[in-house]
Amino acid sequence: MQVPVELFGIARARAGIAATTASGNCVGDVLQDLASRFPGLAETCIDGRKVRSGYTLNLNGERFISAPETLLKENDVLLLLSMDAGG
Amino acid sequence: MGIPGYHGQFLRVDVGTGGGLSVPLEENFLRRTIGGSGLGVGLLLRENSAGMQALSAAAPLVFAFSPLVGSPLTTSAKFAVVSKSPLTERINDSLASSGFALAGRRTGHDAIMLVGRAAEPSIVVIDDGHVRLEAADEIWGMTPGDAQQRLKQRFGSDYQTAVIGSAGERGVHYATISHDGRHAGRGGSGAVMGSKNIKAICVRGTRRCDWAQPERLVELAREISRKSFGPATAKYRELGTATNLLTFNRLNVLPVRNFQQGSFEGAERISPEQLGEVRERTRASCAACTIGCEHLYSLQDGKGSVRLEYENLFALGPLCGISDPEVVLAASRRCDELGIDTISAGGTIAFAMECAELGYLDAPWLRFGDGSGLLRALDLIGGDSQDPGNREYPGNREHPGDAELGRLLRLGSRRMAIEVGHNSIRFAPQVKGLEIPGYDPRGLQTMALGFAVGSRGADHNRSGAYEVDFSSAVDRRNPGAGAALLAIETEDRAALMDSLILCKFLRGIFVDFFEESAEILRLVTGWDVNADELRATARDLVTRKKRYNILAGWTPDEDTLPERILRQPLPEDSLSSLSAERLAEMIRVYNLGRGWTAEGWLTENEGSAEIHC
Repeated sequence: MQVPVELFGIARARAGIAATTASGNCVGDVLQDLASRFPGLAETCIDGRKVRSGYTLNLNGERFISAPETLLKENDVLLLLSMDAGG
Repeated sequence: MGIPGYHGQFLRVDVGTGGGLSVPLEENFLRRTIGGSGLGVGLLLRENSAGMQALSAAAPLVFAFSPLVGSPLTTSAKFAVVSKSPLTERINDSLASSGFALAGRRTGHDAIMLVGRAAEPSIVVIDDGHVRLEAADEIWGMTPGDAQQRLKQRFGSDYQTAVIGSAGERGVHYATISHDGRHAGRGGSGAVMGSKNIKAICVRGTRRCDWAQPERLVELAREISRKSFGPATAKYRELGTATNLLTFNRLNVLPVRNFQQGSFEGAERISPEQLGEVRERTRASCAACTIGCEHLYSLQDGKGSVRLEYENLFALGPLCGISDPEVVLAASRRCDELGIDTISAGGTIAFAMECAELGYLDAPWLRFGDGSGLLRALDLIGGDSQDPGNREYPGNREHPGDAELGRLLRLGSRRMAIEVGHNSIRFAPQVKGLEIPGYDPRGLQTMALGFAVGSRGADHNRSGAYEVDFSSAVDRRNPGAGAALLAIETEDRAALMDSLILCKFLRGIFVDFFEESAEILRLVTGWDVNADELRATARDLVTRKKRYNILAGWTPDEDTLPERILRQPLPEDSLSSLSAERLAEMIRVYNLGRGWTAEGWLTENEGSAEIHC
């Protein structure tokens, strides 16, 4: 399944784009795909099938998730962003 | 006295007489307050300032340093400004950075307290502990930046200065105290300083503190500095906090048009991602900081650049319906020139915009989205001083109602709402009188709790509860009462950071903050402090602020949110809905989790937080 992914902050800066699609049926698969295509993300935001410390995932602009085995459904959108807000 | 890391005394300056007195600080007191915010609150309790009017001559204003100031630890050049807030009439502690902290500590004191009121506009000059007052005529009315420049010429560059702008001089309830372009921003400490007829405090000194284990401290400082260059701080270093804007917009938690909406059609236009494409951007950092979080954007009028953070971007942008980046930058610069808190300024003006649109105020020029109206409102808040001896400021009056509107704006949104009437308090964007930062509470409900119970009002720095909302630990739109316990943890960590003092942007490098802080303190002071003691100390720091507020007249009904937040879901997301009942339950669990009564009063068990003279 191709999953839309939106990138914010450092993730966007590292990938060089604001949005893309990635392949996978669960969160872990999607992250692996992103990391393989965007080395900058692998270096900073993604560690294998999960996000690195300081980064977080949000599903559909609603709830935050972390488990790599979280299944994704059609029309789900994954957001990759910094965990800390502040400012 | 001989405690490594401390001078063991604070300087009490009576600006009415010009006299200064070095007052000893006991080791037990310092160990339980540490420094910064904790030390300042402890000193205010000892001065019984809770029962005083915030702008009275007797009300103390404390500049508190910490045992880390002057050490090789990154981000440690900070100071706290602590007083009773004229905006909230509750405790207010705000932080600022850079050379003033270093020079202030070198006067030979762990804190400097101002009491009394000078007969004429004055400058407090502290030279290695010797105090004198000098006339402030030539700088009264100046912007903080210009005043600082003139003071450098007058006294020399080895003095560091903290100054107020014209807003502080005329008692704007959210006036700031500024140093080197940074501000002790929230709560109106600038008005407290102005009420004492003090325009500036200039400090220099030669007295340094010893450290208990200097070699190991230097090694640890190097490790921390190395980590501070890494991924944990990348966001601040490379993008700045303004990058929050598009994230919050996407999550529908960006406050728009006085919290009427959670997303903004103009967000992309004012985002740093777009600004960085078309404007020159430079970075700066405080003294003794390796992160360098300050991002300054050039204005198109060629008159320099302005620092952009998420809070001034949201408050002077979407909160007022403004999508013109030049207006946001110009408004930010104006706030800096006047010396006012951008969050409170934006919140108060947004409230006024809504009142004007509803016909509650006679201000046909003041509308959401109108940049010239925003800038004019700022001018009404600050005014222009032509004559240092003349306390009347003509301002920029083009409409018969302007003078009265300026007076109301200077009070902040809560007092303004009380005077405007029409039950407008229901949408005044404040808690305890302090305007709400850029997190819509309906979509970040652990943060909603943090705002409601915050000792200085709605505050994103004293509570880090948004971190709970940004995690998978809770559902941000219905976190459950248990989230309150997580919120407590964030408050305790913040209280300790504000007392050590270390920059919160450094927090991501710590694995176990209390354990690592204990090591830092052991190396600086030689105390056998451990993580458990610091956890207890942190809780006491928060409880002490609650004690102050109770003495100042706090009642449980203050711990709430505006009626708009509790009755109107976000239009973009019906699940972002927070009821009074849900908030009340979270507050109840929070209070019990702190060891207080369910309503929030202190119990006998919390007597340990009290510090005896």
